[in-house]
Amino acid sequence: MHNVKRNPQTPEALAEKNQREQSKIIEFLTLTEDVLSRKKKQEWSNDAFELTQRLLQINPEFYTVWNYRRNILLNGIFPQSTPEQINDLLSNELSMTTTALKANPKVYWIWNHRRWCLENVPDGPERNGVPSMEWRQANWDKELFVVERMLDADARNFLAWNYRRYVLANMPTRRPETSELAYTSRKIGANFSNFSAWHQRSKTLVGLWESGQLDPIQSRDDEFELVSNALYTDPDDQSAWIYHRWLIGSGENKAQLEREIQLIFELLQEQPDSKWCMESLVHYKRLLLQNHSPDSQTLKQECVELLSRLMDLDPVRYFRYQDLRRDLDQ
Amino acid sequence: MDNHFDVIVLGTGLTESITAAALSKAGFKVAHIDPNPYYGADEASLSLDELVKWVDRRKQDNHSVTHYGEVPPHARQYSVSLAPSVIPSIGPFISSLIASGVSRYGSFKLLGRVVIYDGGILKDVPQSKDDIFQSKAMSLLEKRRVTRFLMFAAGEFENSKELHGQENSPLLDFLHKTFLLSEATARAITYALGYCCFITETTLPALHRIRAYLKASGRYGSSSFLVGYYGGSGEIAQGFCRAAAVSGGVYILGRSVTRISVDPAGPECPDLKSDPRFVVEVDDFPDRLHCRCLISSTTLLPGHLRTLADVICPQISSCGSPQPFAMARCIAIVDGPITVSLDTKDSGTSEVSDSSLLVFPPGSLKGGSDVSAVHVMTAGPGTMSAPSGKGILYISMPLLTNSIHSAETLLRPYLTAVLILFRAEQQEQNTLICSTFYIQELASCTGNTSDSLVGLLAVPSLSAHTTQGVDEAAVVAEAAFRKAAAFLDGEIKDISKQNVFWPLLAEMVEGEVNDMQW
Repeated sequence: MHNVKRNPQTPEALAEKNQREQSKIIEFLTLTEDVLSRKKKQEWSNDAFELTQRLLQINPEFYTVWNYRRNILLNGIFPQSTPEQINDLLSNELSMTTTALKANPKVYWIWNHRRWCLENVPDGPERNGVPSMEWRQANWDKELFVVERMLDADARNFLAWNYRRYVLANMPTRRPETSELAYTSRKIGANFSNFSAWHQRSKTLVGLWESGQLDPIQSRDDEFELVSNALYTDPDDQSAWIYHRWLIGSGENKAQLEREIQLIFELLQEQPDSKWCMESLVHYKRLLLQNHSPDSQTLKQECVELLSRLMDLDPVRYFRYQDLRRDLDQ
Repeated sequence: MDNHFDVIVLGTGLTESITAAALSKAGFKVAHIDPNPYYGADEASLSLDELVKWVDRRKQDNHSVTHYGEVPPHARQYSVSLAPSVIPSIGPFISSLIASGVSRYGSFKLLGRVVIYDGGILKDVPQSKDDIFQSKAMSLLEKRRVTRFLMFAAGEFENSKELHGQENSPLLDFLHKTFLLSEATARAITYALGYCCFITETTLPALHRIRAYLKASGRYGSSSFLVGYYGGSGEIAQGFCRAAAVSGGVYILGRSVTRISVDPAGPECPDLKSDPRFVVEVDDFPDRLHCRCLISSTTLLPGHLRTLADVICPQISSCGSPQPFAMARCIAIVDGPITVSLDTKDSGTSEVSDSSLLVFPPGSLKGGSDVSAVHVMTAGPGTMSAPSGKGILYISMPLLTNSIHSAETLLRPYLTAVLILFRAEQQEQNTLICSTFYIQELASCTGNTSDSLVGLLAVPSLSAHTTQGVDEAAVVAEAAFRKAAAFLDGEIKDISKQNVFWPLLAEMVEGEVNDMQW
């Protein structure tokens, strides 16, 4: 807190603090013992259920107790409940863990518990005598919403991106891939220094190309245009270069390769100290050599020159560049 | 009422009010006088009927002003500022606002959008790497160069080789030659990132501003600036006066000062340790007011004292940059929306703000100025400055010399252009309800070289610069506070009293959260 005077801890104050903590520790240990002993007896009562909640609020990383809680639900509570009650219970579990997540966004066991809840939502409610998917749909939709909030808070949280893929893949009605592409566009637009967003984009595009929703050739060209904006705006940003490398792939498309080499060459003229430009040029010219012009001495010479410059600019990787240079001379 | 004060402050403009609040909170006895029946002096926030009275008074005093249109109904629901400005999110002013506690008296929001008028249309001004990435208006090479410039401007450029020898060259030239930026981009940076007033403004002071504003972005949101509710400056000046009153300051509004005499000798009150220095007589006030230190705005000091006063000038130096002689201003009340829609950003959550800043660089408008940059600020229901469906446009043009043209001749082309732009955006009718044009003379801030009378301080009125004005006011106020406090304490010979500009708020020490009304 700003402007708050720091009170020096007197021995009395410290002792008092210890005292208060002692009582909390004793409380926690007593509760733990209680819960674990009931678990051992395989008690599935409502009392036990309440106790697990209290314990998990204090320590959400206690995965044994999460397991116990799930067992209570499965063995004790669900057998006595209607599908509607089960849905309510699970929705309740989900809200409770959302609160826990806000305080502890990286505790795996909370995410785990959510997955279990989602997967156990029963079919229902009944419409015209047939069970619908409405409960499932509602819960999975909310789940996507929660993930989006987490990504708004921290767009580079790969845990959340991973969970997002899980949700998108398991939702009863899938979201169209094109909307996921738009989502990555938004995230990249907000901050293009984001590996996870570019990565998600690459996965989404592959899906769209394979399903025929997007023409791979035109789409790739569009992607080259998008990523060139990132490269020129900040040539030091790795995520854009990695994406560019993925787009080039194994370099079969000669025209594309030559065009991109020219683009990067112009960037290097503008920014002569850019290590990434030089490295990428070497990589792409070697692809040209391998795939299209194996005898070109010009290309080899250009690579050797670039590698020499790199050896000066990036002495930490001196021997790597030297190795590459030796490979070329052969 | 006891008529003996430590300090008497004349004028409730922003600078004077900050000084009064600081002195009052530091424990000095302060009396604060203003001839107007409202707070804020030349920076006041007025309702429309008050504005009309102000116009009439100006006409009586033979100052330039023209006014058209009828006052609309609900005149009280408008808060018109005589000194429209924005608050940088990081700077001496906002620090004072928070440290003094005055921020709790008002409400603030982020400035919505800064756009530049270029080639007949409004264009966004890139403020960050991500803006540059998304821009559809720049070539790839241009993007590289602009980013390079922004990194340069945000860093320590003072001893850089790029700047060497160029500190006093015009910013536009510097951007062309050293950073190879296109004309359009150089204009956007000069006028809508550096907020330069004139085409000849020099590089170094502009770079300081650019760096300050780049750093300010992100503190509360993407914009570098805040705007105050209810007309801004006048409301904030009133907040500082309230803070002064809460600490014991005495307020006299609506009375003019009829006489100020300097009285160094002859103790009139033998029980006082030191002699009273100044005696102030107020119109229709039975008692004379005594004080040891007199602080006044330069406009309210009578001529003979003006030359004797220690004039405190803002230290934010302009080293070579031309200073405006006067401002041509227009206040227009508009029926219809005044929002400038956001087209490129797709954040999805932000609402369209009716507080925005449109910059017209020199030479951008046919019939406009080739020398001065014109700012158009909008204010509307979003800042409680106008009732629903209405808005206020503030047009300001800094003038280098006394202009033979009236404010109306100078500014009408801009008003017309802006109304057409809004109409085009909204496809709705946008009608002008009333408009006021006037020229605001600015007091030149020249310090006095000869010996000044001890205890007599003068502060210039709020600088007319849209973004820098309030920071200058805070800097001047702090300097005035320190001089006055040193002088007053020196007399008492009480060295133990450490004069902090803003003593810690009691609540902060207790750990209470100082929350602002956002």
